[in-house]
Amino acid sequence: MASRTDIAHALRAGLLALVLLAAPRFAAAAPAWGGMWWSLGGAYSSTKADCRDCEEQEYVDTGSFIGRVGYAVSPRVRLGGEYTRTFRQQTGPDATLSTVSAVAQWNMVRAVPIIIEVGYGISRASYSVEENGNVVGIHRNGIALNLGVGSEWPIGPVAIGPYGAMYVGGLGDVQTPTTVARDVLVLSWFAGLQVTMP
Amino acid sequence: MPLAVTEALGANVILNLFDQATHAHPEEFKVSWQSVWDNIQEGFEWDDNHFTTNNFAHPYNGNIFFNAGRSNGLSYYESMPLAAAGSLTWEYAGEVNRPSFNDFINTTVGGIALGEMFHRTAATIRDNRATGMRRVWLETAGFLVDPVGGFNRIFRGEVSRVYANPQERDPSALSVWLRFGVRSRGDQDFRFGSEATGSVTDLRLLYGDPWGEVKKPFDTYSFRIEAASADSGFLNGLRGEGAIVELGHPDEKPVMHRYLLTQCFDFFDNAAYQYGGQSVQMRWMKRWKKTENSSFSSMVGAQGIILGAVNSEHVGLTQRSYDYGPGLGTDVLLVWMRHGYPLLRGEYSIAWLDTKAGDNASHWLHRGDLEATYLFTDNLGASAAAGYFRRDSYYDDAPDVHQWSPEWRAGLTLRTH
Repeated sequence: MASRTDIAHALRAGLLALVLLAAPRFAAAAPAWGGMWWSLGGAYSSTKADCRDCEEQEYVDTGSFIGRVGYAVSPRVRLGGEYTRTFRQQTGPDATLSTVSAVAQWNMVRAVPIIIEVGYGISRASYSVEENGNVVGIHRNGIALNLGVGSEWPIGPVAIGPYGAMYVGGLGDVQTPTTVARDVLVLSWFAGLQVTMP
Repeated sequence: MPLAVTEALGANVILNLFDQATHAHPEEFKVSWQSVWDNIQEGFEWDDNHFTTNNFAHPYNGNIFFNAGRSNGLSYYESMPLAAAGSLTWEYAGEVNRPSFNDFINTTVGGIALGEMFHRTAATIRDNRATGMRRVWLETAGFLVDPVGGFNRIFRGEVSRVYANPQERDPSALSVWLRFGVRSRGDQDFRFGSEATGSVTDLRLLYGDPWGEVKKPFDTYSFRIEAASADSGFLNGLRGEGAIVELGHPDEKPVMHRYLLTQCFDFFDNAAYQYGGQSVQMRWMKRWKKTENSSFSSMVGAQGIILGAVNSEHVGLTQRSYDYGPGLGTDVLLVWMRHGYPLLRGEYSIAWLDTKAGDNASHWLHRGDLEATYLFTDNLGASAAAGYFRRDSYYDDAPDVHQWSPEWRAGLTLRTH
């Protein structure tokens, strides 16, 4: 039987696919890529951590922020830098994941404004554990990889569009309240909206 | 573009069917919608495959995806997402196993580096103006280096058509060096025994003038592959480095400086360490031209290792005996050129890896090499070299390990240019 999280993932993926399929009508109005660009966005994100010999973990749903800036090296290719951060939950695990990455974006077919993104950089997990009755904040840095897909629809001087992405943080060994989790990978799915300029 | 995507994804279908028919565990390749959905839900993991599989076979596979784009007219930058898409679809839908984080990076980044070098190498081998048996041999050799490009040439009827060659066929400079002879690797007491002594073959390709203008990625690159009969694996070393962009091109002067951003692929297997890595490097190059026939050049690099693998003593996995992690590195290369060839060449490199999968460790790798070459004729000569490999592994929960291995090589050298 499908869990609530399964259905939530399927709905988000379906919504994103629907929006992307409707995107071509906006393609003709989109300006060709060139020069500097930036984008800001917010997303709904589902995050979980996994490690060697660990039991399967549940996804935790939170909000997230994304910001990018860069330069278009051709009408099809943009290079840039990106910052993302998941927000802390009101309840549940006290943890956030941040990434700072170099990203490349491609719009391979001009008539279809689907943009794919690949990024690589540094991830940082911040969380707290209890030691001798005290809550201790811990930060762990690792590598970050992100794979995303989105679209841009021109509205006045900016473009607005949906995006979905998968962020992976390879953190190595991580201290937990009870043990050391080995070879930790954090997986975070983002689905949201972004504003891009120009 | 649609053809490039079809070929990249079609390569996965062919590989999947091949694995279903030949693999010892064919059930690992019987994918279903459920297995794909499970992989999406569960996400990436670090896999535990053998060193050569993860650090050579996967990047080689990525070159197939990348060259589906290059051989269909896409540029280096435009073909990159095909390497990523081919790798991603294989990881999620080519196997039942969970997608592998290290495979995705190695296949994508290594595939781009190997793919561009193979694409250009094959272009220099093929000759669209050749006819008869010479054309057959050149097309066959080109096919072996760049199978996807060769397939497309057959598909489009280009293998037999006589027409103009692409620009990549005639780089500003091209030389191929083949060295074969004897190599001996010593133990930690610098004793050279017969069990680690055998034949060695070393092939190097220098494409483009390293001091020429870089208009497109890999307008200049070097590629070296070394295979030997004794010590470690058959494939002992594979290193490729290509210029992506240059920061301002210098004028031709007796003393020249230049700065290059390069992409590197590394694979080393020796008694001191196994290392495989994908990296980018910032290079500072300087050349002193003393006379028309004599110059001295130096190169210093600062390397960012995207993902590296190095053998480790305490990984604790079934198949995998190496750690994964990002890192930093640096190297120095000094070359004395006489009459257009490197009479004396010395290099030293250091790499540091911070483990993110495997032992809780940091690894330091050293590699040094000093080589003298003398050409008797324009094409034939002799060379002798001394090399050194060293690994220092610092473990948080186990004793540190220090291993080193010296080597010497001597033999004949053939050059074409």
